[in-house]
Amino acid sequence: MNPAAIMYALQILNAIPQLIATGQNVMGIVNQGTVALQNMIAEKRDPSPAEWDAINAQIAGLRANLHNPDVSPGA
Amino acid sequence: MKLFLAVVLSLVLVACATAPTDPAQAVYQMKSNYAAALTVAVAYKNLPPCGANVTVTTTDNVTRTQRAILCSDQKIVAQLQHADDVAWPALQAAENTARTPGAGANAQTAIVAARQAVQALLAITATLQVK
Repeated sequence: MNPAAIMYALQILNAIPQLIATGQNVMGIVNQGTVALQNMIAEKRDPSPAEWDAINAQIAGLRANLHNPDVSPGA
Repeated sequence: MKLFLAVVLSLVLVACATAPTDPAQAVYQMKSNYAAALTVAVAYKNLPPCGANVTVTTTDNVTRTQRAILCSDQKIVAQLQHADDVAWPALQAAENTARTPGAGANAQTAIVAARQAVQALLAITATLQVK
């Protein structure tokens, strides 16, 4: 295998931990939301102010990152 | 990589299996799904831009600069940002309406609008692929 091909392969390998972390983050959010919703249904109630605040804060952080031009690529 | 992103987004669809019983729960579920989709969007945006160079180092400290092969298309990033700009106010409006006692039909209208806006972002993230 030529050196360039090895470097390209390394690039992909280096990205795998970040891809796995993204998958775990998504799974965590999905599980958290599902459990919270199941509790609300079981308890026959609406989301509490704290639950609204938590999901809104989570989204605010993600939105800030999505729109922030200063976040260095690859971070 | 494309498959990976598709698998991640399929988790969002699995989350929809739990059916909310009132408007506030429905909006909460939409926001939870939205957070999951935004996580994918942010991960994509944080890849090196296509066309940029990256430095790769081997375990024996050989370093080489080469074109990024796992990269984000800046046009797609702009689409994601625009979709978020549209979806977020709709989601907030839906939350405000759902949390208003006696909102009734207004809550349903707000939820439909928010769902459409969220679908726009989900549609983009579902087609993301790393070049």
